[in-house]
Amino acid sequence: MEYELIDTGVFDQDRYFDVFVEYAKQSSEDILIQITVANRGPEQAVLHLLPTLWFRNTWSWQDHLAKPLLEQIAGTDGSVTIAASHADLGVRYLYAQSTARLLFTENETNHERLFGSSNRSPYVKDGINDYLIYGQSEKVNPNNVGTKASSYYLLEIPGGESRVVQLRLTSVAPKDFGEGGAFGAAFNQAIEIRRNEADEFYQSITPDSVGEDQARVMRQALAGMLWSKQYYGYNVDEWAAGHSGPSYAGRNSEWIHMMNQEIISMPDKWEYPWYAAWDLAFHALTFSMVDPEFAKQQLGLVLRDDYLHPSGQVPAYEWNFGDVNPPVHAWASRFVYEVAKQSSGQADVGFLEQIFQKLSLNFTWWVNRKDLRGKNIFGGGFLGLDNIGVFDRSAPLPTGGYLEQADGTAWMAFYCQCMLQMAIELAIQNPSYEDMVVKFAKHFAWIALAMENIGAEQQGMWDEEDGFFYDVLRLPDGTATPLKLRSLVGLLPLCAATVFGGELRKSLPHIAEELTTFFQNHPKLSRSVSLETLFKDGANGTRLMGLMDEKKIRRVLSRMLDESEFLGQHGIRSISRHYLDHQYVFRAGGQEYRVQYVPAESDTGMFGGNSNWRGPVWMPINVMLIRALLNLYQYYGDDFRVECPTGSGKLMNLFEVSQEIANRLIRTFTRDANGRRPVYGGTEKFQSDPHWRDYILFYEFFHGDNGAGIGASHQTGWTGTVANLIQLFGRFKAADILATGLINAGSSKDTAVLTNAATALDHAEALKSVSASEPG
Amino acid sequence: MTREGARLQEAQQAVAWRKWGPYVSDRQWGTVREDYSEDGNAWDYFNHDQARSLAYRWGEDGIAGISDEKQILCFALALWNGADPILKERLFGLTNSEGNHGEDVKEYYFYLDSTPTHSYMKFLYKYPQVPFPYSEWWRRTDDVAATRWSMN
Repeated sequence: MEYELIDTGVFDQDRYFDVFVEYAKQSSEDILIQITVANRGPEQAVLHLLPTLWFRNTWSWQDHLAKPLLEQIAGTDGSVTIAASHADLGVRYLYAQSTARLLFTENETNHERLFGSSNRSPYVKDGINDYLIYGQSEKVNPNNVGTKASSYYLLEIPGGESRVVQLRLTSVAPKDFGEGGAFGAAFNQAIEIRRNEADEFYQSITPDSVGEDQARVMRQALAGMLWSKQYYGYNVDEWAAGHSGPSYAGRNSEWIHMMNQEIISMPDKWEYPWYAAWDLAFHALTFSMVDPEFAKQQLGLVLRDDYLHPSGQVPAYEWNFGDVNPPVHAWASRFVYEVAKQSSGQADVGFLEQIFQKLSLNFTWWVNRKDLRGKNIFGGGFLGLDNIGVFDRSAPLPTGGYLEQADGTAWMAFYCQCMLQMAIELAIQNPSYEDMVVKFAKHFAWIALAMENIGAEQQGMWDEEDGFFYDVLRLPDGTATPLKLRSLVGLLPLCAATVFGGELRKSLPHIAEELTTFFQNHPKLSRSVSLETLFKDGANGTRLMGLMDEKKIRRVLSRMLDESEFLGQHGIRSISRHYLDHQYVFRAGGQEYRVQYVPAESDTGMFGGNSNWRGPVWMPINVMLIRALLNLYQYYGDDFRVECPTGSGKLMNLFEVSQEIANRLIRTFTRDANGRRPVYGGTEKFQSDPHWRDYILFYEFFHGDNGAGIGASHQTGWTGTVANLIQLFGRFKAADILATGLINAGSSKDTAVLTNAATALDHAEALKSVSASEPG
Repeated sequence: MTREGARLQEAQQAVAWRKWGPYVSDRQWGTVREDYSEDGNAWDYFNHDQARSLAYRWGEDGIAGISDEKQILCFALALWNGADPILKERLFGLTNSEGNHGEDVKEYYFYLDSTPTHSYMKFLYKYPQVPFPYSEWWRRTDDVAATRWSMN
């Protein structure tokens, strides 16, 4: 296991400070800051506390920009005050309670320390550090001006006691404060009010049936999501020029159109402080629980012309914008559109149109770049699943040839389904989108057929013997070999399942007619077993667009729900546990490639080595699987039952299966019967200490057997989707879903919550159906 | 409607409730944006120890930091326990090549609460009173370096 700070023993005798920081906005430009420092140790201890204000250094690189200024001014009674003046921002004031001393320096590079060259200013970024640590009084500016300044407090705190420090960052000038000044009773009351309003807000989105501990997990997941917003500045052209000028041909040199300077949701602000395309789509699902407008804005952002490549490619992440992530943007966008529609009562069709048009470019990019042979079979490389493959799927294969990827193809089928849903929604209001309805319906059918049919002539992705989908390695000599490693790659075809409400025939009957003719003219399609559910009514007249017939679904589920394969105590694993004792071995070109079930940290350096897809549980794919199961449930209804767990003799419908998986995921974070949270594994302090046990970390991935958190520790990002699961399953029961469709289920007093949950299932009741065509 | 719900509506029209928020990163050093190396090894171009001396160009980091949406003006905490060799201005962690499983933050901090407009936010940082074991990991890293990767 990873060696962590707690293992060093520095917390053993509780000799540490808990430093709580609270921010409360009195107005949008008036921020109250309260810092509470608790000495958890047995003896008095001293903390030097330095709340610090500084300007980002823009002036060193852009000569035309005036240098901003921090300076000490006469404040209100009982405070010391810094005025911060900037040409664009205007003036802000930082009031600090009067025990503070102010220390000023500049946010400038210390060239002397780093490069041995002379400094332009005697005051540099680490000036306050050197003043405090080394007592070098010449390192801070005695004139109390600069671009970086701290309010310095020396706190002597007896063991077990706390001290409170208050500050205020505001546009309110000293003269505009009344008699009470910047602090005092009004300040305390304002913080209390905002705190209570936060309680009220979270109560309003938490279903009544959700217990205290689950509600805590949900709220902290959302807190982590909101705290992980970050200013992201990156002008690639200027940055490239800073390397070797116009001849720069290194990283991201094909992305010089990018000029990013926005607030973006990060996967983890320490470990992954840059956006990642498919992570961001999952983040939007969770943001839509609390702020659908922000979720929409985030999805639209990476499709803007200063992000999206002129070719139509969505930027993956800064390490290589040209990498390929799974195309989940369409799904997330429609999801968020639906949530926003329900919570505001108005459909933001403009948003949907913008997204749809940009995604049409992106869809075409995929088709042109990732379907190597023009056969509707897709590659795409690692597709976000790092080391899941036998080889690095993004690198040239050691065998030569190329991979036909079960996940790549499934993602594209899913992408088609989502684009189709959007096209239908748009076409009902604007006939110019009708052609796109037809386009995506047909395109889906061809992909489904390709996935089903290539086995007839050559080895295909579906393995009848194993009852599973595999990647197929196509070798230069024309032969093909399935890579029979049971992983999420083979579960993804299950995810490409979307239910439709059967209303296309009502709203767009001529399109339904056109599609009917299309299927009639292509008997291969109308006879396809995977497309059968398009032509046959399911529960309550639904139709299903998927890649598998009932028989295949049952076979794949029997493996997925087998506790000795995919179904762990805390969710669906990334590869089958079968490979714990039976390594997968693939031999090619005199080399042997091995994959073993590794439930915790990665044992390979592939993709940086810190993300392991060879065993652990990953939240985003689990969410995709739960979504798929709920869609399948809406089609197959209560009568479709499977054994869950496999071999247990216990039969469940697919709603119950999805709930079972969700419960296992949620139980990763909540206290068990012994009061322990599996996420914290054997870390005793986190399990039992009252100052630790209720603070939840949302890790990047989780131990495949015991649920312990692994990898990045603040990846609330897509792990934050656990909040969606708590809300969803806290609200809905199976009967609601079948009887009325999710959009209408539940009580009407809490529409936003209901719809959010409803859309999580991607239910198409509010949209219309394409499943119009009865062949023959 | 809740008061926070009302603020979300106001944010659609006249009031810039989201203008200030937790927009300061937890780490700006070791990113691609701040990397001007020849070999593109962003993690090794400059490290945590150098970060306190180098003015960033593209964004800022800090502990529990906030800024405006253009990140002109930033506010964050700095702390000193009187024992550490440096002021704690940013969270410590290992770079990709230092960690035995890649990069990893070595601090305990918790995002405890936030409303969507950031009208209320709460954060917790746990700061040891004894010297922060910066050097501990460098030693450990040496121990595990030999067995760090087993490329299969």
